[in-house]
Amino acid sequence: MNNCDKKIVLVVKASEVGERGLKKAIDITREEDCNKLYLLFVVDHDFFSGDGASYVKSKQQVDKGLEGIGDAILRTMEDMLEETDKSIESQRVILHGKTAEEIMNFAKNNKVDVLIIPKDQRGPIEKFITGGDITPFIDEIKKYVDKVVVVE
Amino acid sequence: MKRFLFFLGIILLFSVSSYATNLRVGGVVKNEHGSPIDEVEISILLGDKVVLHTTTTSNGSYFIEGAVQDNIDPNNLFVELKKSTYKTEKRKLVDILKSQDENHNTVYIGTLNQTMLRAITPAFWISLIVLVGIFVLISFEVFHRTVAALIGASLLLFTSYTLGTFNENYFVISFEEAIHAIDFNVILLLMSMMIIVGVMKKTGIFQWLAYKSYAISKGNVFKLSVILMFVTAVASAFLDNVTTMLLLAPVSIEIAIMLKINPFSLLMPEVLASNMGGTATLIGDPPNIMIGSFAHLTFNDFVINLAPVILIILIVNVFVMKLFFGKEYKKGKVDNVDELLVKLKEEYKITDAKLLRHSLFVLGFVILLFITHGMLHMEPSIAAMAGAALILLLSGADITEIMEKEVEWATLVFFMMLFIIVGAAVETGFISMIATWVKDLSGNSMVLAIIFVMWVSAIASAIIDNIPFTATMLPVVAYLTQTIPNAGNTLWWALALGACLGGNGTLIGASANVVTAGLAERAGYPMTFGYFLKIGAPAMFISVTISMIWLLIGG
Repeated sequence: MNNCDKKIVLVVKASEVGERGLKKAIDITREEDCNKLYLLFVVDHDFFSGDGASYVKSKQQVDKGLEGIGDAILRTMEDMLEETDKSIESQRVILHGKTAEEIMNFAKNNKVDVLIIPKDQRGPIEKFITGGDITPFIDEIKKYVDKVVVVE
Repeated sequence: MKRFLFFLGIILLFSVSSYATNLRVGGVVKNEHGSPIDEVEISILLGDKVVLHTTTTSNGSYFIEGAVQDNIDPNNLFVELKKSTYKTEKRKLVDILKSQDENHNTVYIGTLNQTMLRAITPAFWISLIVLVGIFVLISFEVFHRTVAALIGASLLLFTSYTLGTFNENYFVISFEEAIHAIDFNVILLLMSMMIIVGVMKKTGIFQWLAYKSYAISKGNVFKLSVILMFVTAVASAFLDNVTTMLLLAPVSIEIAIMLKINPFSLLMPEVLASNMGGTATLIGDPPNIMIGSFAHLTFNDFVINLAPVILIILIVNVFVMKLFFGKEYKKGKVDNVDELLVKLKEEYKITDAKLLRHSLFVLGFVILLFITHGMLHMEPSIAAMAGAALILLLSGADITEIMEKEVEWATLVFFMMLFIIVGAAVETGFISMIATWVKDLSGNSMVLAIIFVMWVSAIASAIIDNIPFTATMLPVVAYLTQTIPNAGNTLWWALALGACLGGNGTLIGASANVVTAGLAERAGYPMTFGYFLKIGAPAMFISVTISMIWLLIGG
């Protein structure tokens, strides 16, 4: 049971920036005097631009793999959260669709107060190839969220 | 009325007897590379008057026979050869034999074998612009590659049948030549393998193999990486690299996250091994399928000539990967091995054992047919088609679903359009120009030709799509193989090794790399272009160098 009325959401990633994101999320949760953190993962099979889209033929199969990856990331984050602060409980949010769109829709429909987004360092080539970049949508997301924290 | 018909008959008889001299002319028309030229318009002229007309067949031969006016002067007979992409030739028929047929009619027999020289016409420039344009559009992903190829092929045919109708210099390729250029052996082989893999992956075998690799490694990350490399390489040798990586990579990422190591330490060796494994067989990678079909090389030819060197390359790269990721392997947290094993076993189990049995039986059957297809004079596509039909029959899979979800029609259309574009470049002489240039550059030296073909293929494939590159190189290598003494099939192996292993050089070098990068990004590990280059380029350099030495020492 959350002891504050604020909804704090962390977009999870397994990398170092993801860990920094978790630490930041824990700090914010404490600052806001809350004890619940939402851990969000998007199963986004829409990998590539242009030609790449044709590679992902069997979306269900890819989704299954991504769900496994998501589960592994969420388990790692939950373990780290428990190690750091047992008083904060976590709740999983698993969405299916395009990363930016899904985060935006979730924020819009769930009155998110704080959204923490770990941001990877990616060049234009890999952004172009693998997609999933939410940086251009942050301003749009800010319309629906009181506070967006980008962790680099 | 009867009397009228009688006189008409007499008149016709006399008129025919006044053309009782027959002329028979035949020969072969080739280009400066010695390749036959089809659809050459052959006219037999008596002075300036055309008396007989035909066109050459697909093997460049022609034979023409017909009645001509009596008492012709055989010294006044000429043969005119015309094709829009070649210089028109007019040759006097010499050494004409005079004979008589069974009806005692005079028969003149002449032979003319002619080499035609290329003409740089607007059609040449059109085909060149389209070919280069397609490479640019595909490389920069301006359009989906299938759209780009479709635009190119339709532009060539549309130009031929609009501008080309009024001015033959704009005629690039005929519809018949375009259809002839499509290698349906490649198309049917790809389609059939997509069906087989599409059914097979429903069994969960790929993910189960990844789990099993982890179980065998018992938490030793380096051992796990080596096992995964070999599992991936073997799977990629028989199935397409993209599917292999799409199914194996998520399990590897999951294992890496749970072991708290960077997933790249498993993914990079895996994806590099996938591209290496695909090089070992006829069906492992699209360039090999194209080479095998074009050069009539069998499955066994590929295995005998390429599999040993690929094995060496894999073993060497195990140590290269240890050099890059050795520290990461040591970081692997092994205290939760059993916990992870239980989770993976539950998550990645064989989902349909009966279907797996059927799939393995069909795969074995297809591989057996591949091994024997040379002896049976059977195209490899027939073996794959038989397998696809059998797996559909045994599995009871929904054919509509398989066709819609598993067969990559966009890829197949891309191949077809690409064959037409390259076919046009062959017709107009652009490809033979490249071939002549490469031959001149190598100076008839086999060593230089191997080095040139292999390294150009590798570097080009690291930057651009290796499928259009290979399609363009096929006629070039065919010419080099014909003209360089004792070339055998070595240059085909140089092309296969260069084009397939080159894909390891950069992130965009192979589709499997892009898929792997996409999956890693979703886990929060963006695989940057620079990062991939740092690991992939040395691996590619080492692999191509080993391959080059292998071919140079006659491996």
